[in-house]
Amino acid sequence: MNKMFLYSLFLLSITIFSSCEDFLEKEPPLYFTENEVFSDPNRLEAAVNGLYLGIKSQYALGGKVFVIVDNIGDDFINVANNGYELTFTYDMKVTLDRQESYELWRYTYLAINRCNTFLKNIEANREAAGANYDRYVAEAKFVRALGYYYLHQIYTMPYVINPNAKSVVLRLDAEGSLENNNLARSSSTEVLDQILQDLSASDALPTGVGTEEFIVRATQAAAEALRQRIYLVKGEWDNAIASGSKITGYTLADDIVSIFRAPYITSEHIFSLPFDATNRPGGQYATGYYYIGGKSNHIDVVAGIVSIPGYGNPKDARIAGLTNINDGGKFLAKYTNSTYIDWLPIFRYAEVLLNSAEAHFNKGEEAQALALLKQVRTRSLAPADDELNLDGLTGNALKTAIINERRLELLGEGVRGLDILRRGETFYKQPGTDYQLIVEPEKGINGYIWPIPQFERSNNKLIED
Amino acid sequence: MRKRTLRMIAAMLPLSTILSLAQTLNISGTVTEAGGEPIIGGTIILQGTSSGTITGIDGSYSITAPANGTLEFRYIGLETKVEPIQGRTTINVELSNSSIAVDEVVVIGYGTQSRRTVTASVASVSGESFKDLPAPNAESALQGRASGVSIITPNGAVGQAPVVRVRGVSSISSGTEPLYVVDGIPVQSGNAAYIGNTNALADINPADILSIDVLKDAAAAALYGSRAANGVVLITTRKGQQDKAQVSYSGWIGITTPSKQIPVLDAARYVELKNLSVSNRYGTDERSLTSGYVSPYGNKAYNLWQLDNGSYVDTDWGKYIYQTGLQHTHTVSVSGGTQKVQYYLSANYTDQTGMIVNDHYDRLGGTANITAQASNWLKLGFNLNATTSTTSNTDLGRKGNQYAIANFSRIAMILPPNIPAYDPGSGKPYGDDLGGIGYGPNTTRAAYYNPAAIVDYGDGQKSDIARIISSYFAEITPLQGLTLKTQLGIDFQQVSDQEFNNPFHGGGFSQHGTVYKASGTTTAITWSNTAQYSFSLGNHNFDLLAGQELYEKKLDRWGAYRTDILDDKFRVYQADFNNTYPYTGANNLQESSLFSYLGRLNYDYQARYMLSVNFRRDGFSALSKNHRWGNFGGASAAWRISSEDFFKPLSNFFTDLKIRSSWGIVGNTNISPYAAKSYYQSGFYGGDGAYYLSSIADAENLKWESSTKFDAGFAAQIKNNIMVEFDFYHNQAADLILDVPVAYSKGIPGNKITTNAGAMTNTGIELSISAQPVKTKDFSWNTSFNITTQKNEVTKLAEGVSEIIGANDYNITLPGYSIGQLYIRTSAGIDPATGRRILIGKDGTEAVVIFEKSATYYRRDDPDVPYAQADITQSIAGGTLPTYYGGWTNDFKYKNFDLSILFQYSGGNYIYNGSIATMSDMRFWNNSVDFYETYWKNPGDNAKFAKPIYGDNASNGSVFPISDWVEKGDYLRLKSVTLGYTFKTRNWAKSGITGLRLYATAQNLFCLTGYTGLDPESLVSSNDQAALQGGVDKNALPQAKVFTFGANITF
Repeated sequence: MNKMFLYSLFLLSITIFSSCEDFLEKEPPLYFTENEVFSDPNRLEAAVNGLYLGIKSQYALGGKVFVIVDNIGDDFINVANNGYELTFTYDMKVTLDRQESYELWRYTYLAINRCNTFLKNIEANREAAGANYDRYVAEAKFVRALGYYYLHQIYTMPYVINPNAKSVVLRLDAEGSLENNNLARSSSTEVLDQILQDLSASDALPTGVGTEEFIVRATQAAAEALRQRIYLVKGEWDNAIASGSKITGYTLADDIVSIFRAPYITSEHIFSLPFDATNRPGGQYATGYYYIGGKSNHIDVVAGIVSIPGYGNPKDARIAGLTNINDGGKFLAKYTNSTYIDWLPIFRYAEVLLNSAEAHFNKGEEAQALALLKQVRTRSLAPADDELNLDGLTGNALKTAIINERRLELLGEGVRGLDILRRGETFYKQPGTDYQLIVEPEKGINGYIWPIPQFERSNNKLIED
Repeated sequence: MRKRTLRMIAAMLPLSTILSLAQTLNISGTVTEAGGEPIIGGTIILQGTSSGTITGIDGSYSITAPANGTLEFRYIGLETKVEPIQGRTTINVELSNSSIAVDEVVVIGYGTQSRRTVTASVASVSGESFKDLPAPNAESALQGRASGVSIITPNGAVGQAPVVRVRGVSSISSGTEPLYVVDGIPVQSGNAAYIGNTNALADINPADILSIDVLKDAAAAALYGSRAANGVVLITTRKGQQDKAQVSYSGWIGITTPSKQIPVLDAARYVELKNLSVSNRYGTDERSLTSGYVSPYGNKAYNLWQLDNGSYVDTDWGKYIYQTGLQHTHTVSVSGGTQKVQYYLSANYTDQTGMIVNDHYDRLGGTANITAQASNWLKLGFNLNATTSTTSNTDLGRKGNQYAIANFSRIAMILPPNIPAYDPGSGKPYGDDLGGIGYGPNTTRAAYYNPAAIVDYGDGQKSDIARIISSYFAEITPLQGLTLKTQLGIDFQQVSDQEFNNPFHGGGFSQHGTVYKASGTTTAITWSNTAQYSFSLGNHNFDLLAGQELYEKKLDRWGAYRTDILDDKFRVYQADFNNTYPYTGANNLQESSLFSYLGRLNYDYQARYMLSVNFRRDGFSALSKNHRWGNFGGASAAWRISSEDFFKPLSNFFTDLKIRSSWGIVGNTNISPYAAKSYYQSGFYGGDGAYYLSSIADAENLKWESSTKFDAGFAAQIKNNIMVEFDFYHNQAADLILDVPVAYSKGIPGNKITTNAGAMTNTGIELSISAQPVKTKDFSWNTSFNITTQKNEVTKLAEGVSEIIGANDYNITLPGYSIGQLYIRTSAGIDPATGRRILIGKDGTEAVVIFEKSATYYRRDDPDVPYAQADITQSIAGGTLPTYYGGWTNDFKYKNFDLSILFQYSGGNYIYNGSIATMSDMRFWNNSVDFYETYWKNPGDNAKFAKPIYGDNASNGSVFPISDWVEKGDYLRLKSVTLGYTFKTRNWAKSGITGLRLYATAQNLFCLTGYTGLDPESLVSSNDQAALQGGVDKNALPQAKVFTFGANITF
């Protein structure tokens, strides 16, 4: 009995010994290996979605970017009095250590490296991609270009002031090791050229209008819309006009309010970031968080665009339907879903028209500019109700009308701050009030643009101002 | 209590039956305390057997023993006496007091050993020494008592785990906590909750602990191989004894209060100071600071709020945050047994209300163990510890979230005192319609939360934990000296976590009420099989151990959260909410496994020459396939010089002297189960599936972190009265697993790659001295002092990595320095002429802060020229690891009174007192009285703080830390004072009470320190990364002062 027990004990031990290598094999049950993702056509298709999901990070384009740009701009007032809710962005005092800056930097580059890694891996998995290979590559490059566009605009002195200004670091290869921490900043020209080069693959992108698949993923029109923005940045008006005219098949939605309400799909949408209950930003990151109920941002009804005669017209659908100004308030009502799943329109046709109008104007083609401008304005405001008469406007008056129309049309859509920066203009926030804040381009990284965050400098010793 | 412990030791003696061949006698007699009364419950054991007896209430005993046998007389706290029988039938014995027991049993890995023959460095703390302390957990009981073991209590919040470090920090990224082993089973420690913050070791009731032994050097710890680099803490729980059932009760009740609070301004001074800052910035204080907002309370930026009765609102926010908490603990135990079966059963209940409002911890648990000698070759037993506990808090500043809006210590300091906690009109908690405190009488909105509101509306985190640690063993003794043992241990932990945020105010406002839930189990199974063979060849004694062990750990957790509450009565996940979402981070499944072989040889010759060799080979699933297996081991030797003939002349002085040395290599496995894998995660993009790269690892090369440890020392007993133990240690940790940070622009998930890189050394000495300077019949004084020094030096980081900046940007780790140096921008104080903060740029340029101007930083010599913030570089500003620490205990006994005083000290480190920066920020935050009194007022002032400029967060250290707030961390703390009275119960037989002791204890009565913050021990980071970002006190909570009254009763 005694011995039997002993023997069985040792027998058991031997059994364990023999299977110990299996015992030590533990694969993560919730994750996938690179091979699992890239060898399966369905997963590969979903991995392309993953690239968009990257740029859709709540720290980047899927959450804070719109509010960052609009807090840099002059049409809203930040009332949060809270560093986490962009008080420093609004006050133009973003220092090396500011959270909104290092998060934007970090998560945009995370999205970029996912694109770079995808571009590397897909070369070895062309069979799985099949006929979609070119499209996938073009999509990855589109997402990368989009990321670089926003980084370039926020961290670079305006191209129109200095085309060789130090811009962001251009990372184009997949990074997965400890090497290459140090990389110097590229020039503004180099970054913009790289974006254009990425967009040159856009012929492989699909075309289509008015369905979800052609709105949440890149199309030729989406690439063209981004390209048009780059041309505006560079002041290449012919190219901008050409880009605008290549975006065909789109029309303005009858009611501008429908752009911002479910199902967020109209003939005007060119590219949007979709949201759903399973992928939505957290509070303090969601675009809607800042505007719903005026939590952090109020429309500047004293000195902002809506205070300018003709741009606060109660009958204008943009005032009546997308703000509560007619009820005596000052809240933006473009984003209203309290669970923050309103889709974010990145490119829509109205902007393309206004971009083209600006380009035409700058070429001296005032008639074309005016026509495009009126197309956008009359959609929301019947000429009979309009106190302004745009006909006959020329020169600076027309230019101002184009700029003002953009401010109202794209209010709260992450455009205004970038417009001021791209034109190299001085910021006048709440002008003429006790709270007036004037920031000239001469202030550089001391208020005009953001400095490269400290966390980058700590490990990338080649960053220079 | 005393008797129980003694019998325990008796029960632990090897139970082997020896046939007595010699003539047997009936022996009787009395056992008395030297010069004193009869001893009740003293143990008499026939040496070499397990048979024995216990003295009765008059100290008498009788026993049957062979005429040529030897009897051992034992009583805890008294010196054991050995009497050869030599045919006598009456043996009366007097036991004398011994403060020092050289002959105690030391628990080592996979067994026990006599202290006499131990060759390794083991610190032992008996449960008796902390039985009076209201210690919430086992780790806290060690503070100041064990040399080489540093315990840091991060703050006074209840239910948190302290930071425990054995001989310094041996790892950079992969954890610095020791391995905890309870009755042979490795158990989970640290925070077990996902949402909340708990302490897994608190599930073991300190009153059930018999002893704690800390294995410090490699020779001692090598049997735990890959998990031993940070030391091993062995906890032995109480067991049954051969006797009739003994019932004990121990318990205490007490109160707790914050040790210190920083004095802040009252409403009048607050309004005056803030208006001054507004004037300094805008030229007038008669303006609204918010566009379009007009204060109904006055025309200034800041105003007083006058009530109907003429008085002004003046809120002391600390009152809504701190309180006097009531705490009590009760343990009832029953132990007893026969020669064949021994049992121990206990139940405990603890309820602790913290010094922070809504901080609460309670625990209800039980322990049961039974050991049965089933036959002459088979012994069986089990050990069970089952506990349910709840840790709850509203303060979200735990886990190092010092910037959380609901971090209580921070909002106690910075909320405006001219805003009421309760609306004077409605009586409801004051707040605005955006979920924050709002404007009050001021013209800037305070977005922070009103603590009275979130407390009243039920906000908080709650972690319910069910824990079962059980072990089962069978031991076979096929022949004398050989023991085969198999033991199965299961550490099962279920954690159900919740966080509720109300819909009216605070974090739940914008989503109209939120509740988060995470619920999961971790199961760790250890199965060890060992063979132990002890034999002697003449005076050569051998003890051999060989074994094999499997360890597997699984985590299975799900989480979800809900928003938009239906009814504000609801505060739980299960209620009705409009929306339900997956709680991404909480959903997790993990598995890891460890497979090991182990062996040990212990040898001694007459306890004069001793040698021990340990070996362990571990395979760990989390490492790369190529480097999964590692070999660990150590050797140690000792020489009892005092047994040598040539030592005789000295032996009157040195009653015992042993020198010893050890060397070995151990490892560290405290890394994530999939640390060596690169992988993709899945998710959704809108309505479509998405896969994305979420981890990049060093899959080919990740291997063991190894630590080579050398130790040399001696243990001496001087004149039977003074014990001195000395150790020199040198640990060399190599192949450290490092989370190497990479430039953000590389876009690597987590901005780090886990790899083996880096090396570090820890060198120091440990000295402990115990003595009994005074001993008379009525009065005795025992004193024990220990000191540990540690010099930590990082010697290498990863290839191409010259430094690691701590995640909070306050620390730097680089070769040539100890880990986690403060890395601070240099300030040259305040310019007496202008009142501006002077900062030193990288080229020595002096810059000044002019906050109201756009660039903030300007050249001092030309205040119109901006100075780049990036050029105000950080400098190394001091090490954050203490270079020495220790404790000093004094136990006095006078007749039935006893007084125990424990001092504990630590020093040589620097602390960044970041709370000064918080308290001198010129946004709407309240400021300290210190600021009010010492800010710059007039040209020529040598001020501590800059001229107040409204909104200025740069001058006094909020934007980035400045060197002015670096302070020394040295302190001496009166950790505890206990005054007790033990009743003479020897004649209380009729009452049934055999022992009664009452005592009162005070903890943290005072702390002598030059540190001006709340407490030199109160730090922000209490997590695994603590070493990389140590020494930062930023909005940390104070420590707790605790006064308790307790009783120990035995029946």
